[in-house]
Amino acid sequence: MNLFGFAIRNLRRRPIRTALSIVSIALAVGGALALIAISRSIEDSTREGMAEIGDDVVVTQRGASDLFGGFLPQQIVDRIALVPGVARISGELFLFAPSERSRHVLAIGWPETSYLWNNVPMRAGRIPTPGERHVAVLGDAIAEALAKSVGDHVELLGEKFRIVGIANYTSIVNRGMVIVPLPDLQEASYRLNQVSMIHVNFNRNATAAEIARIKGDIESLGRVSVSTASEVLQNDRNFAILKAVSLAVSIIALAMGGLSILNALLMATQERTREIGIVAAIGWSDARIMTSIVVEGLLMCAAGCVLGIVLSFLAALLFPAIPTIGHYISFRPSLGLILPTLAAAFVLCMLGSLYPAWRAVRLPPTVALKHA
Amino acid sequence: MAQLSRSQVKLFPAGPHPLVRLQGVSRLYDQGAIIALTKVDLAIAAGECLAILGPSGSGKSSMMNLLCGIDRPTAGQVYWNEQLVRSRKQWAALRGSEIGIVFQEFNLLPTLTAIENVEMALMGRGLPAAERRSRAMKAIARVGLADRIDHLPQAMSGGERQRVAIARSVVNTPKLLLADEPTGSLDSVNATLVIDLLLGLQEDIGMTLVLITHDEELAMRCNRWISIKDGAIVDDRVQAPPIHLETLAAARSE
Repeated sequence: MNLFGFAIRNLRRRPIRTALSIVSIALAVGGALALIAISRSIEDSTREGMAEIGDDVVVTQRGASDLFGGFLPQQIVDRIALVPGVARISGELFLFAPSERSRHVLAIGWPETSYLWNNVPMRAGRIPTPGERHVAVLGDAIAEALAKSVGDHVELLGEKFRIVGIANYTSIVNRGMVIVPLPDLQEASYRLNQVSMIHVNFNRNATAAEIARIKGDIESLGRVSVSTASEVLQNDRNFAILKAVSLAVSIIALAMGGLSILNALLMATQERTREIGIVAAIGWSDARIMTSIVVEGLLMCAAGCVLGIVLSFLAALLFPAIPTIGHYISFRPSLGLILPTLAAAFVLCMLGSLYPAWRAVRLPPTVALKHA
Repeated sequence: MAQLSRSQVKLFPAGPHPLVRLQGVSRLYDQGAIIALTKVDLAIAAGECLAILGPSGSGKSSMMNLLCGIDRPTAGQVYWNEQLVRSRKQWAALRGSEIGIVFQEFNLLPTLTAIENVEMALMGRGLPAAERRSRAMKAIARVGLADRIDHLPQAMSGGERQRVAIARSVVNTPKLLLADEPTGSLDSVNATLVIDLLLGLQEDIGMTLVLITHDEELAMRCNRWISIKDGAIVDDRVQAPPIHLETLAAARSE
């Protein structure tokens, strides 16, 4: 018999209250994990999508607040291509475009000669042939969502595109995109001779010094920034807002979990006032009584955290099956995500336990012993 | 001069100082609307068996609560071995090692078995688990419940519960055992059993026993009794003849 044994007995004695407290902690932890994971997921998916397309760096408009807010003149693509050390280059226009079934899809435009076409992993059909217009390759997820297959037509920005292929990308962003010839998208979106970003591949075996020089040369061509995919996302205002909102909601979720613990332990200690009087009467010190209550709180917290992690993994399994969520977000709990959340949960649980513990020992034993 | 037996020596004051002493102690409740004790002076010697008598509401339990520090006086001081006890921490330490308490309502923890209830009084004293269990076993065997150690309080009779509470109160071999109406919730058979047990333990351990009761017959089994009325001591009697220091010294050297 020790403090842990004593705490476990007390928790088992009130199974419903204990279970409800654990579930509320689990929901708080699971909710916080999910919210943080979602915010990271969008960033990660975008980064993975860019990596999957295959580039070393991307060139964007300098000072653009977000990916969708910056545009470059298409002519600069040819000038960048002339920079020594640049192996391959492709302009890209992207935007969210209204499509069928009241959906907005991520529409991508690539030049007909772009090397990016060659990197598309095809599940069915083919890539457009040079000179072919008003054709599209769909990611498998959006094809499934729109119930389209090769040979069907898809509507983008009010124009019809014939589907010539279904791509087999793995990242959630790429699985949801519709790729069309660049001139078609430029015309349909009134972005003639404009691109959103430029994908650049360096020569193989380029040294760090050479890469730095190439970046400098490109940036000297105009008001452009050369960045890796991660750097682009780090500076993106939309992602920054999304992360801030997710973090705030996560903190609220965890705080609610902490309040839940506080409430559960306050009620539990209230119910056990007489018992606290008994242990005080047999000589337990204030510190020992407080420790026993805090141990109880931490045990509930540990159980709630385990359940919360299980819930978050279940959510990770379920999310992709929900069309309105699964097409935009992939939720993958990771150790780097779980550990800080658990640390925050334990700190809140500790604080939530200390207050009722402190209250309990303030009460004179005679008063506690009179409690029903 | 008649020689005293060892048990008689244990029953009477042995030290030059009282074990516990109340000095000018008052206890008021509801901002003075209720006077439980008023300017009480009381010295209890080591080894004494003292009965505190009085009707309900006379202040008996308030006095007991002050003697073990589970309540604080409104005025006055409480001394332990002539040392003023000031803090909750000091009182907790005393209750953990020097003072045992038996309540009328047993006050056992319902989630713990008999042996675990006794062990609880040993926790936090730096004893290994095996030693705690061994001492608790001895204490519970001493009250005749060796075969009931794994029973929860609700599975035991009132008499058995009170014996577990007694085992818990003496497991630390206290110098002072306070029993507040220990037979108040028991039938006559169990009441006799419990009182015999308390007096037997008092004699065996040589501790001071303070018995709170309104039963005069029970009180007569102690060597000293005081009567309380309206928060004041109105009578203080010692049954046996006073012992002179020379007699005490002779008995000790026996």
